[in-house]
Amino acid sequence: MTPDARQIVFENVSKFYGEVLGVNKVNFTLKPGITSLVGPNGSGKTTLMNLMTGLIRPSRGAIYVLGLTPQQPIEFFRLVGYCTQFDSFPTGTTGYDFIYWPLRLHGFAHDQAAKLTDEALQRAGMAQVARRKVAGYSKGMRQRIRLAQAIAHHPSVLVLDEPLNGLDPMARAESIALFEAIAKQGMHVIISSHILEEVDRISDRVVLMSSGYVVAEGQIREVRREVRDHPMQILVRCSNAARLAAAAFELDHVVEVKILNDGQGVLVRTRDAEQFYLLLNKIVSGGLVEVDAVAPADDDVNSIYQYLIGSDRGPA
Amino acid sequence: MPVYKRRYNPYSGTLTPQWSRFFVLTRYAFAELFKSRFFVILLILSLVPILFFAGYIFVANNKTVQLLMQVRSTGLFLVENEYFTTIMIAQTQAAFLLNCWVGPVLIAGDLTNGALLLFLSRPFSRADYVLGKLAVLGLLLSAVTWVPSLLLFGLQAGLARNGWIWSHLWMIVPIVLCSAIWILMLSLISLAVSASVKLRIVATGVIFISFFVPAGIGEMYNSIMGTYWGRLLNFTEMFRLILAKGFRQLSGNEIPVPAAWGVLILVCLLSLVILNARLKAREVVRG
Repeated sequence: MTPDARQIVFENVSKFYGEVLGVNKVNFTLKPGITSLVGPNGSGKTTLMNLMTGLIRPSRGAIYVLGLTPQQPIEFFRLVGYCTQFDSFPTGTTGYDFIYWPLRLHGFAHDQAAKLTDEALQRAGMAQVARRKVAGYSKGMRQRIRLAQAIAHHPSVLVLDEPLNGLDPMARAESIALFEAIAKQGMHVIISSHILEEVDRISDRVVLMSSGYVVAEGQIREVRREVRDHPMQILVRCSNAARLAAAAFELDHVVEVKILNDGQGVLVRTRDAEQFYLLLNKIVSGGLVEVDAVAPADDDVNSIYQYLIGSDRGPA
Repeated sequence: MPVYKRRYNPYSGTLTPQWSRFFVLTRYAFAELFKSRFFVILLILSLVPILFFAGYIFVANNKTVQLLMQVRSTGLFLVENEYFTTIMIAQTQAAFLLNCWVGPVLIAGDLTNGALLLFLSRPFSRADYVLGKLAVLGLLLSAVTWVPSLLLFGLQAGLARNGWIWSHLWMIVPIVLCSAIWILMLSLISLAVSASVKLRIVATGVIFISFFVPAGIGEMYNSIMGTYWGRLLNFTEMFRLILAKGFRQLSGNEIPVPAAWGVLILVCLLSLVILNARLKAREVVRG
C-alpha cells in the first residue's frame, strides 16, 4: 500500500513489552482534523502515541505519518510535535530555554529559533512568565509550556497526551480554541483526554481503545450508529407527548418510550432511528403533535464510551 | 466532514546542518556548567600546575635566572621526554578529578526529569545525544590535558635552541594520542555511570570505584596466582604504560602495550554497551 501523504496510517500494528500487550492489531487511517483517543487506564493510548511519534517501534506492522515512517527520523520528527503527559523538563531550565533549545536541535538558527520561541510563547499565553524557571510553574503553566514547545517548530502533526489536565476553565477554553484553529488549518491534532464532554465538542473523530485493542474508530455519530446492541435514545420536545408516545409504541423497533417529567416531551429508545424519524415526520405533518426540538440523546463520546467499554471502569 | 482551509504551511526555510546539531547539547551543558562557581574554581585549579610547568621551562632555558638562583648543575633543568611524561601524568590526573565532578550530572539530570523523551522526539538520534554529552567532556578535558601540554611544548620549542623542536617533534603524537584515549575512556565511563546512577555523590563514588576496585582485584589475583596479568585491571597503570611507551621510556612492565590498549578500548566499548542499554526515549517496564 502506498502511504497517503496527508494521512496517518496504522497497518496491523502491535506492540508487546515482553509478554505484556501494549496495543494489538491496530488498523486505522486518520485524516486531518482533531482525533481523540479515548479509553481507560492501560488501554494503550500512550503506547499508540509513542508509536505515532516514533519513540517506540512496533513489534509488528507499519506506521506511516504523512507518508513517512519513524525510520526516517530527520524528516519524520520535523513533521511531528509531541506534548507528553509527563513532567519532562531539564533541570533548572526556564520556559524560554525549554522551547528555544529544542528548536536549535531541530536545526533552526539562533534568530529563527528566537522568533519561533516568542511566537509559540505568545500562542500559549506564556510570554509574560517565559524567563522564569519551569520548576516554579504551576501545573497549568507547565501544561501550556509543553504545548508551546510542541507547536513551536510548526509541525504538521500535533500529538497531545492529556493536554487539558491541570488547566483552569479559561486556559482550557483557550487551549481548545488553539487546537481547533490548528486543525482548521489542515493539521492533524491527536488528543488523548478523559474529559469526555470536551472531547465530544472538539473532536472530528474518536478512536476508542480498551485493553490494547481499538474497539471503535470514526466520526462519533457513525460509531454510535454501529453500536446496535444499545438502542439509540432520541429526545423529542413536543406539545402532545402522550400521543407521540402511543404512536411510537406501535413500532417494533422502539423498545422504550418515556414521557418527560414536565410532560413536554418524550425520550424514545429505538433500534432504528431512521424509521422513528419517518414516523415523527408523519405525525408532525398530520398535525397531531407540535415538535419543538428533536435531538439524539446518546450519540456522544460519553455514551459510546459507556456502551463499548463499560460503565464499571472510569475513563483515563 | 469538515472543510479545511489548508493554508497551513510548515517551516520551509534553511536549517543548520544535521551533523552539527549535537553541539546544541554541548553549548547548553557548558552554559549550565559555567553558572557553577565551584566548577570554575576546579577548572582554574586544574590549570594551575601548567603555570609551574611553564615556569620550569622558562628557568630551564634562561641561564641568567639559573645564575641568579645559583644553580650550578647543568643537568638539573632538563626538558626532555621525561618532563613531558610528568606533565601528562599531572594533567591527566587533574582531568580525572574534573571528570568526576562534571561527568555524573550530564545524563543523570536528563534521565531524572524524563528529558530524553524531549530530545529524542526531535530530529536527533541517541548517537547525537551521546556525542553531544561526550563533546562536553571531550572539550573540557582537552583544555586541561593535550592543549596546555602542546602549549608547553610550543613554549619549550620557542625558548630552546639548537633545533630542539625538530628532534622532539615526535612527542606531539604521544601528547595527543595518549590524552585522547584517556579522555575517551574517562568520558565514556562517567557517561555510563551518569546514565545508571542519579545521585551525583554516589555517581562520583562509582567512578572512583570503577578505577580502584578492579585494580585491587587485579592485585589480589596476582598475589594468589603468582602472575602479573592482574595488572590489566588497573586502568591507570595501563594508561601509564601506554604513556611511557609513547614517550619512549622504559617501563619495566611485563604487560605488552597492545594488551594495555586492548583493555582501555574494552572499557570504552563496555561503557558504550551500558549507554546503549540505558538511553531509551521511553523506559519500558516489562511485566
